[in-house]
Amino acid sequence: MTLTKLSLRNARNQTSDYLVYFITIIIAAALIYAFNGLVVSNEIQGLSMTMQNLSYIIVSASIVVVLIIGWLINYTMRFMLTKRSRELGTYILLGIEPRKVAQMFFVENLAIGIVALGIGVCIGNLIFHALHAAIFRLFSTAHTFRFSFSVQALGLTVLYFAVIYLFALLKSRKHIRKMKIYDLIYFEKQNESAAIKKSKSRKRLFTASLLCGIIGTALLTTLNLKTNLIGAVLLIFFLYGFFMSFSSGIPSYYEKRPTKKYQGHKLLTFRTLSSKLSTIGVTMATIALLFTATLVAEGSGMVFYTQFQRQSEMVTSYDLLISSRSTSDFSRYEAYIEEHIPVRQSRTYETYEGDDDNISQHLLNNADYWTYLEKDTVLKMSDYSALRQMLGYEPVTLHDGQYILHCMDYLAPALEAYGKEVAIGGTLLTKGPIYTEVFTQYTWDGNGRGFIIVVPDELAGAQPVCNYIYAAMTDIAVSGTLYESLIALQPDTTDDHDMILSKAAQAEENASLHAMILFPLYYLSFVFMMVAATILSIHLLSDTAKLKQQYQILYNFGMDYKEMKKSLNRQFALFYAMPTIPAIIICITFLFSFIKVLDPGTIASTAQPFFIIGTALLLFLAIYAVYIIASHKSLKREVLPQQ
Amino acid sequence: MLKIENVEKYYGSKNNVTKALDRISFEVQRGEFIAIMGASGSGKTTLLNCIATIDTPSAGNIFLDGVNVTEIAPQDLARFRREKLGFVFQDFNLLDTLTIEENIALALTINHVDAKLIQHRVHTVAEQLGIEDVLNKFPYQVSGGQKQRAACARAMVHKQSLLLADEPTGALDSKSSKTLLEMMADINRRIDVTILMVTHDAYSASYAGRVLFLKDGRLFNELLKDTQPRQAFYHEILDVLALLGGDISDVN
Ligand SMILES: Nc1ncnc2c1ncn2[C@@H]1O[C@H](COP(=O)(O)OP(=O)(O)OP(=O)(O)O)[C@@H](O)[C@H]1O
Ligand SMILES: [Mg+2]
Repeated sequence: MTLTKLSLRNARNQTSDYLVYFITIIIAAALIYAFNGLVVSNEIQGLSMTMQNLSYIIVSASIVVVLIIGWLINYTMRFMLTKRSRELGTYILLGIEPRKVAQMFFVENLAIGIVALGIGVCIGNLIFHALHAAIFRLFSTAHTFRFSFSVQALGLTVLYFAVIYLFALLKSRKHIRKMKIYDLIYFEKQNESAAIKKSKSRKRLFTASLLCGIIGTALLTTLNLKTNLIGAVLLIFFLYGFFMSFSSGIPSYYEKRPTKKYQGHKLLTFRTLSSKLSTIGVTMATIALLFTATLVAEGSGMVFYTQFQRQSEMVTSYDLLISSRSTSDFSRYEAYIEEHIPVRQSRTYETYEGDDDNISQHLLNNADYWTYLEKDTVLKMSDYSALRQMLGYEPVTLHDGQYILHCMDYLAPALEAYGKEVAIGGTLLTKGPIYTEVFTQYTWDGNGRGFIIVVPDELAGAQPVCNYIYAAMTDIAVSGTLYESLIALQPDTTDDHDMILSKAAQAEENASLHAMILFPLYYLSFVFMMVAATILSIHLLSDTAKLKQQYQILYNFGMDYKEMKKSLNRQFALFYAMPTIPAIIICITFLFSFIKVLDPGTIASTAQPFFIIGTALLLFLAIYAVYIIASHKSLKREVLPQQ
Repeated sequence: MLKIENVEKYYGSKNNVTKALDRISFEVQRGEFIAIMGASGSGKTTLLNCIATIDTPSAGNIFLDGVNVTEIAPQDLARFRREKLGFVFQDFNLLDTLTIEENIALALTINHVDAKLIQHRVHTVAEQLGIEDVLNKFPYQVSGGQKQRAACARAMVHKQSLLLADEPTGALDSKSSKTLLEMMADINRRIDVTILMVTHDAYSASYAGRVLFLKDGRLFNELLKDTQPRQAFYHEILDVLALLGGDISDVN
């Protein structure tokens, strides 16, 4: 049998041992191909000016992905090398040159890589088309499905993989050449070698790392770039310090408490775990770090998503709004609009200043609110009715001697609590109903900042004007060049720009942001997640034979099947939970404070932060569960003796 | 106490059958110390495994205290094993991830012995067998003989009523062998532990009260010690081995 044949056969055998790894490489290749497809797609680039930034972002994200996947491949190769050290050592013992053995080992891995790349690119093409369609959907642009295959994207993907494998080749060759036959053959025997042996320094490290963890998490919540960075560094220190000291700490904890150790079946769980952790404490920390990054990226993605959704709703309720502080003359725009934009309905009106800023003050004291206006804003009832009708809202009535409040929904509770009368030109009005439909109140150029007081026409008309507004509902979307042309029509004064808001333009901007922020975030978080979960699973599954032997012995000694199952499950659960717990704690704290700095009103209810964080966690756990279930099944089937 | 009735064991498929045990029958009284000898491949381990319910015979019955072990329900087997049997495996079967001490303690924790008593009991046995120095080491850090003694300690620490030992002295020097054998003889005498011990070594076998010889899966011969001194019994065993011929060349 030639060496090539031998290594190809080994590669095939390995594939079943490392199926999870193989699938991860496939998905990684697929994702790299799909996202690079977006970068080189002319159609996508042509969608909007800002989409060109997408290329830079995705290329940067891809570099991070390549680094991470490179780490995975390297790590797994080294891992296989040690797991198979006895086999490789035997080859060398039989007289095959180490150089040849290294070559054989590499050929195997390369074969796995090439097959994975091939399958990955095919799947990647499907993902690319899905992403492509999704982006067109975001931009509300008609999309016709046309099957295409991007040679450029393929080239980029192959390039990335070539770099990864070249690096891995150099490293594994060095590794094999340096190995002695003795080490190769006896390698797998060594199981427990604590990273930190002195118990005093271990305790110190443990305390220090916990402290760093707490301070780091606290700094992460400050949402100031500088302190955040310090926080992140502290958290990295925490994770590594924690896992290194923790893993060597368990044995010494139990050494001092033998009675505890021998209670129930703690012994098995703790020993298997500590022997695992002491060799992979550093890996565990890296995995926890990746999980933290995944969760933070996913959670931030959710937060951004909520923000974009809410913004495109809140910024303007009209298809087009032009607002001016100084003049009611909109003729320069009207000429253009008449020619280019079919208008279904429009209205020109004013908002006025009230006598005082009592309601603004009330909100400043009682809600998450800001304003630059010196007086509360007032609207004529006739305009209000007409605008409601234009927006398709239910008609409402204003009773004699009352005022209506129309506000952003999140301010309603604070305003419910406000019962005072309002003076307009000295006339006192009592409080009437509150309405909360979307009404262009997000900035101060529309119908008040956050809220507006609706009063009888004759009272409002006597007040000073706050804004002159032209509002329209149109038959076509005012976006792209239409919107840009309108912006270009603004007078060239440096102060007091007119404000031109278009629902469609806002949506388009959100779509670009969406694509630019969310896609790369999810791209990264998905890869992080997969790589981390894969390494965990490889570690566990590669121990199948060892565990099986262990449980066979326990079975022979008469351990109950139920107890064996329980013990295995406990080991399993602890193994998978360990790196996730710190990640989840860090992520939850971070997201709560992140949500707090969003523009007021973005979060509509107190339940929403929980919903956002819950969704992020759920998404994470759902993907994680796939890995957990897959490895749990195979482990249980393989390890526990047949009854 | 133990009754073996026409036990047969076949391995392999239809056209390639190995007959590991061939209609074996014998009886063991409570408190007996029996040695089983025979060439390599004669079926000794197989016999022990069948008695220990780790393996099931293809035909025949095994009664232990009147209970037919071949008919014990699978869910009760584990309990049967941990409460009634101490077992020394030919290849030790120590758990790599546990220290020697913990390996020995395993026999007790599996039987839910009070955690406070465990350490003391483990140390007592280990001291008797001369392995107290290596208690905190892992199996890969100790010698073959130390591992074997650890395996014996594990089988004896809970003092189950039947001790099955598959070549417990195989990796031991003569002094450690002697210590171990004397310990076995001691628990056999003092607390009535019934012992079945597989051995290749006539010296070890001479500690037993009775020696069974297996050849090609069959019971070939049987020797009783009765009242004769161990030295005489030893020579008697050597004579039978010479008669048996075959692989047992390492008699000393
Ligand atoms: N699992 C098995 N599958 C097939 N054949 C087996 C199996 N176990 C044992 N045998 C065969 O059964 C026969 C008896 O084996 P056994 O292990 O009982 O021998 P032994 O007397 O213990 O030998 P040794 O002194 O070398 O340990 C041998 O021929 C062996 O090859
Ligand atoms: Mg045997």
